[in-house]
Amino acid sequence: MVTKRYIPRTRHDPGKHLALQCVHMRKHFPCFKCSLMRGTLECLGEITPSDDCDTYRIRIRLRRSGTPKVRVLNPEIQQSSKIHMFPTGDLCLFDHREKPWMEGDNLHEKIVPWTAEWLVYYELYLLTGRWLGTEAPHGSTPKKDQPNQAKLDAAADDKNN
Amino acid sequence: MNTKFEAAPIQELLKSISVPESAYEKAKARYEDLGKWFERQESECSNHSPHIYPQGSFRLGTVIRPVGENGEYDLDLGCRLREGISKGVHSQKYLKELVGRDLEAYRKARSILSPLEPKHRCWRLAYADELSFHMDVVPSIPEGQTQRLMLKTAMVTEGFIETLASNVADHAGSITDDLHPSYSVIAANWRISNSEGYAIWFESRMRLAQTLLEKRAAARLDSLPARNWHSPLQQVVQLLKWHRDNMFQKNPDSKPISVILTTLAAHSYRGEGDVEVALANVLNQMGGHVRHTQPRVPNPINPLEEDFADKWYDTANAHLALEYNFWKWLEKAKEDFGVVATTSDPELLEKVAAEAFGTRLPNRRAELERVGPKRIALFEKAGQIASGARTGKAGVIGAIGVSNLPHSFYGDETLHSTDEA
Repeated sequence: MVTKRYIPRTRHDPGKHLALQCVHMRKHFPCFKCSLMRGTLECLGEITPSDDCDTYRIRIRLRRSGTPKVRVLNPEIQQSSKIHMFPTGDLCLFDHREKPWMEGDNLHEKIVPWTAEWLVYYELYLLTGRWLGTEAPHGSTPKKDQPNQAKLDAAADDKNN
Repeated sequence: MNTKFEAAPIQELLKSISVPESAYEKAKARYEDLGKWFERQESECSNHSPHIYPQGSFRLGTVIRPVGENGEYDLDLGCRLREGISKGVHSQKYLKELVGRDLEAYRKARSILSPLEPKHRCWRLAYADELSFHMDVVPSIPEGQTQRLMLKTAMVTEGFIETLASNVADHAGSITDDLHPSYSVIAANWRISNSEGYAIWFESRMRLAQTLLEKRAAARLDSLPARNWHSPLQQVVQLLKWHRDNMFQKNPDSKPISVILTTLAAHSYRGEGDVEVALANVLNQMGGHVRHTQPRVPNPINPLEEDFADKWYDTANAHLALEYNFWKWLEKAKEDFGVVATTSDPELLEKVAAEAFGTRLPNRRAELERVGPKRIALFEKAGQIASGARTGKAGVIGAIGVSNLPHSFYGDETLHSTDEA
């Protein structure tokens, strides 16, 4: 009995973890329709991250013991090395080397807000040709989670010109 | 769908100032017709192996639409008599009049109403049907061996590679100039001119972007006429000329001449594949290629003897303030192109487009009206994210909802693919 306390409950019951994610998502982001089938949680919904932005149809998938996969279904996003996207079309929302996805992590706390951010930076990229969000530098030690203020400052001219 | 709009305004401007392919075809038909005329048996020139060829902007592929409603195209042509005329036997006057007689006969045969007009170095024939052309025909003979060698040496001294210098010098010719002291007498010191050599030099500058151009055209550059290269350097020259023509519409005699703009632009060009980048670089660099001492803007292919800016310090032209006007134009061009490329203010854009470019850029304005406020809103949103935002129930980033946790967007393409595997 004593040893059992040291093992997180979710590890024994990943299905329950997915169900919990589903409940959280429904509560915090009713703009998503969530369904749990055969060990996969799928959330489909539309996000308009800012009043002036387009509306994006988003699909989030989370499998038992997996990492969330987020994809923009519509409009089509053109691949570019400047935007953070896997060749499959999934968005790269976080630096997994620094903080890999843990089972205790919540979609509603991380994935949805980060997706909304991604979309803001994507629209800024369309206007400026640059990714202005915080990036983990390639091939080096991941940066601390500091908002990329310097980059925004540098681009401030763009806003005013 | 959104598009990046940085590229749009310059492209829009280029489209509005470029000449239709039909104008090039027309010009070609004109000089080929003239060439045939010079070759017919009755022609006095036909014994001298005449060759009519385009020079200037039609040769370089930098023609722009004439400014104003009734503008005319200048079609500069060379008329080279390759045999039988020599400086030891004939005067400049003899050559000029020989060519003039055949041109006069041509004028009558083609029922061209305006008279053939003698200019200092050429004959002008105003040809007007559906497209108005001024044809300026420059008579010339090939330059002698010694002069060519000297030209080549001068170019090599200026840093030309040997083969290019050789190729360029081979096209050098002697032209007539009625202001020349020995115009009417036999003399060896005719003016040198080498429009074809200049074009070859200009092409060598355009070729800095060769790989890109060939990829775009899906053809070897050598198989295309220069006008079909659509190289960034040509487009930059077109833009500069258009801006100048608008600025000096009321006093065209004071404007910086095309060959100065073309030469300085070609010197400044570094092979940029993108016309906007090339334009910005050229505008920044071209002033630095004006020398402090004479020759101020040497002809790159005849650097010792020809200064394109010789009128800047010629007292007869002092009233035109040519040097002052060049620098004034350059400053204005930097400012105006800067506005067109970067402003987010539709009113300012409209003002500059109308005043400096005589155009409207409606797409650019509409784009600005659409995205101007959006740009500002997005930057504000990004600032909010940086200082701690929340995401609302509908996924809108703002002040309410789930707190956005810090993170970084990760990785580059290679890492992405590894991750996915």
